[in-house]
Amino acid sequence: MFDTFQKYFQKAKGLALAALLLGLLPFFFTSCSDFFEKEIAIDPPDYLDQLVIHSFFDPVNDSILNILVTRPQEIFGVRDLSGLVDDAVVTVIAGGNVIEVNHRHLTNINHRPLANFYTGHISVDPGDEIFIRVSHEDTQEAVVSQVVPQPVVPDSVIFIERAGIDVDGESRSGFDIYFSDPPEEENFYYISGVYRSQFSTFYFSLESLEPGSETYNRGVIIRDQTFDGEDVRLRLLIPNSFLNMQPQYFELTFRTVTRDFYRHVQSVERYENSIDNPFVAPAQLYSNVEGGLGIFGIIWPVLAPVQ
Amino acid sequence: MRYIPTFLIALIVGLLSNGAFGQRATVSGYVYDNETGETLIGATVREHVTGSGVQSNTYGFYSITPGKEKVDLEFSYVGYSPQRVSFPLERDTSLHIYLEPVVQLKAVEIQASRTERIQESVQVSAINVPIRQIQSVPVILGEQDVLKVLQLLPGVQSGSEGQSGLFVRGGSPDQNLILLDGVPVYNAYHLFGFFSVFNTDAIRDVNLIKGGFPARYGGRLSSVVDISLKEGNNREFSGAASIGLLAARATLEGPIIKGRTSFIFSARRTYVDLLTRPLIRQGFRQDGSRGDLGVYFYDLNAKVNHRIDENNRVFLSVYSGDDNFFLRREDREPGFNEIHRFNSAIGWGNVTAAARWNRQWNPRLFSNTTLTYSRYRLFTRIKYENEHTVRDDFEEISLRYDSGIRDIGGRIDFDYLPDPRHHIRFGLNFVQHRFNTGLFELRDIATADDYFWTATVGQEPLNASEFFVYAEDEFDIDNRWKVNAGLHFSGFLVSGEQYFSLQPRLSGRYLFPDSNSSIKLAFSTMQQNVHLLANEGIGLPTDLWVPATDNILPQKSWQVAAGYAKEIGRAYNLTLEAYYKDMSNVISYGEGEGVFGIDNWEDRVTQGDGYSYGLEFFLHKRDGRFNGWLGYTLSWTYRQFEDLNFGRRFPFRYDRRHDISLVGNYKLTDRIGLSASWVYGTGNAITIPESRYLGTTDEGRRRFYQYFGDRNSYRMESYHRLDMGVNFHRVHSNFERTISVGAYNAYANQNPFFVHLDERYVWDYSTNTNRHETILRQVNLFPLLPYVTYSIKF
Repeated sequence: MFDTFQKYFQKAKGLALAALLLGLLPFFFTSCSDFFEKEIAIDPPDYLDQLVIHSFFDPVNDSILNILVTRPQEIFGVRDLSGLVDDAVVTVIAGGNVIEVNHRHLTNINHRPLANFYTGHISVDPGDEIFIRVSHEDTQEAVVSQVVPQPVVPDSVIFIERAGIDVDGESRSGFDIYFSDPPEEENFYYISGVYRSQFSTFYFSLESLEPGSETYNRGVIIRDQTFDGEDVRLRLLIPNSFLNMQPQYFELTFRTVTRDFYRHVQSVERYENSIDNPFVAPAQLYSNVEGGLGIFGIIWPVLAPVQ
Repeated sequence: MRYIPTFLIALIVGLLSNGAFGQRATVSGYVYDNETGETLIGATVREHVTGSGVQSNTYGFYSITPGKEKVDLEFSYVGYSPQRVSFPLERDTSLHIYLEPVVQLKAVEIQASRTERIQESVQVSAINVPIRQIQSVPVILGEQDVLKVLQLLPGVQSGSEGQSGLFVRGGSPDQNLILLDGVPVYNAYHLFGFFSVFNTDAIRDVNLIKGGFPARYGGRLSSVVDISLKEGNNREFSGAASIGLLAARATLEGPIIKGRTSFIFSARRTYVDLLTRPLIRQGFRQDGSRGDLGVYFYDLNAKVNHRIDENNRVFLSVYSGDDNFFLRREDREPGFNEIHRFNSAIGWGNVTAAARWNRQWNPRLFSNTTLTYSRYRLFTRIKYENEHTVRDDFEEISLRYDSGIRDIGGRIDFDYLPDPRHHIRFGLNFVQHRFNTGLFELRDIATADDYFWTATVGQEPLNASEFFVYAEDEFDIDNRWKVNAGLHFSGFLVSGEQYFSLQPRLSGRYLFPDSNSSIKLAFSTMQQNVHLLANEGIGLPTDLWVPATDNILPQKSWQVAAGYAKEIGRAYNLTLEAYYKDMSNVISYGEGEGVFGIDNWEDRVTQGDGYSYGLEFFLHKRDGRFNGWLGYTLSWTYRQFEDLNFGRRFPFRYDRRHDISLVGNYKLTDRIGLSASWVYGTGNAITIPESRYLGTTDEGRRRFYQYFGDRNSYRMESYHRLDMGVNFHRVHSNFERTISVGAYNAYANQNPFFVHLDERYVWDYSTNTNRHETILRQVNLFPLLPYVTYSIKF
């Protein structure tokens, strides 16, 4: 039988070649349509139902502590606000005092910052601890605490017209911030800036060449790894589009932040960089919540006028 | 300590004088292909009186000391008629053997391959695929590819769809030592990794070692891919040429001095840019400008070898290959008397060179001395010029980026065969590395303002020195037991840091009484002093070789492998192997970091541990009318980094539980050959978010965040693909032509390249609002891709 097949094939090899090519081409063209991308379904991943706490506290500008409590939801499907938790029991202890906490629910979710927050008025000093505990009958308790940082106040901020050049070789203006870093403790800073003239207000981005500094939300975050306990001159560059602006309209906010705040915003920057980017390793957001997810951070801002 | 130099001198003098191990006579020489005059690697020399045997080495040299007054030697190599020679042995004898090829239709029948019986070899975890079998396997666009065929072997996995990168026993592509005529090739890929740089027309032998590394190899953790180029036909001129959908190739070889000096020259180039150039230029002209746009790659291989006398041979081999993307455009504005020019190019490529001297010092001692050069570079050039033709001034803004690695080295290897029971190898190697981890040069010139500005950003090139010395002895304890024991000592010196490593290597084999099967066991330790910053998915040219530093330590591993080897009816080789590999200081990008980061590379990576274990099954039929193999791998591979995944272990991206490959070539008639391969692999491990939650930013803005859970805890769809090909041969009076047609991914399976989350809007009729819905989408790369190739041999 095999011999017969071979003989037949030998005789018909030209035909076989043509048939093969012609047979492959339709496959090729039909296979191209809608080939390159398709929606796929996988079993929704199992996830831990736990409480998520988000709270950023600024004891200088606002005595209200806002706490958003939510729950995770399935990654696939319709995205909505069903994760909001408005029937949790929230306990806040600030500086050793139990704080009265109320839940504020507003239908307009764009109404910030009170919509769906648990809020409490607190008054704290540097070194005080703020403790948050959130309980719900359906899931485990989540707790988080922070110690109010000792604020660092810059001695001066000097505008430098030609502070450096960027990778395009363009001249850039900038600032020198002079401050004393407290010794023998880890300190973390977050600096951002705004240009307020009588006609307009611009938020501009800052950049530092200091080792260990990173950008976050147009500002710079930095830890005192390389200058612990020293008198520091920190140079920050601004975009060259601000080259000829008036120095007196620049305003910097110098924030002393907690370590957890620093680590969280650091992870947010990496997270943003990794989302939908197949060439970058996925980044997990930093959380300091025990028994849950989210972040509680404290920021102590100081307004630093530019000289 | 003071006795060591004296001992070494005595040892060398003893070896060179051929008197250290008694007065038994030795037969030595080279084994050649009688048709081309090329030496044969791994030919078997068996002595029938004592039953002992040896193999010819990489340069065709053999040496056997039977210990009897009469010898009866048989020389054999698959695809060649064996020769048997018997004569009285009274003194050392030089005997060169010319084996006659069996006359067959070469492109279909598998001919040249080693004949060491698999159960007799002490080497575990090594596979030698005959080059003609490699040339028969259907591949993407018909472009024969050594690395793609190696991916079809058990224990070797491919990365992403279509890529040539090798992931060997849980290792990364940077952990493979890819040698071309003994010279490391640092980036073995063209066109973003879809094709390898090796032109199969110029290749003589390919050997893959996955474990049980002999002491003569070092510097990488996971594998050695040892590729030898042809030496060139020293009897008559011959050549080959082919043209396919992607590239055209040509090879010419022949004698310079008949019987003594030969050469081989081989070239390959893609030609799409040449065909499309008129259309592209026309397009620019229609746009009112002049310009050009193109992409191409090429490879050049050249080798010359010269036999000085019976005992001395020299070789010179060179490889050069580049990829180039370029865009040139010139716009003239007559009204403003200005000419704008924009030139940009990105290119990458390797140059390797080896100058080699083989010397047979005496019948028992053979040496190979090699000087090596290897360079990989990536360059980017962007230049914008603005010329004012009346004022005679111009402005130029340019950017240059260069990165790469350059090695200059030398090594000497000795083969010493004092008697048939021992094959001693020893040698040393030294390499001077120069790492360019990325340097930007920016320039701005404006002659009208007499302005000149230049800046250099990046790290200056870094030098490092690396050396190793080794010694190993492959010896028969008795007729059943054979052992290869060796030591490899390496050192790496960079920026004041010194890393030394003593690496023991041990392999053993027990041959069962039936002489058809054996069990093998191997243990090896390895250290790797260079790292590759690479994207795990595709082989980008931006992949950057960097040295171990005081912050980033060398990678280390140890591996144990055990195997069972059986020859079934002289036609089939069966191997079953189990392995466990432990790796430390393996490198990975940190969270949120990737290949396109601009920070210092040391800040973007993190180091951790990894381990892999598995079982491999390999049934190989090397020759015959029907030949091919079935490979199956069952494996587990994990990584653990302090800075990743909360310090918990996670599956490696290419942790592939099941991997199957089935390859078959069948000679239907003298003129028609069929080939097919089918692969199946468990889907790659990926990270997708487990859940999402609503949160706020520090400015009070609400937003949804994704929670990733454990890294690589999900799987892409499994991968499977059928490739098919038919070769039509015809022998003419003075040449032989082959037309190959076939298809890659013949049943057009949508194999995943990567997956990503996507958002779409869903209209909610109950609330008359638009709502976001998150879905998962899979990107697929290659549908059915037909190919046709026309080739001739003369």
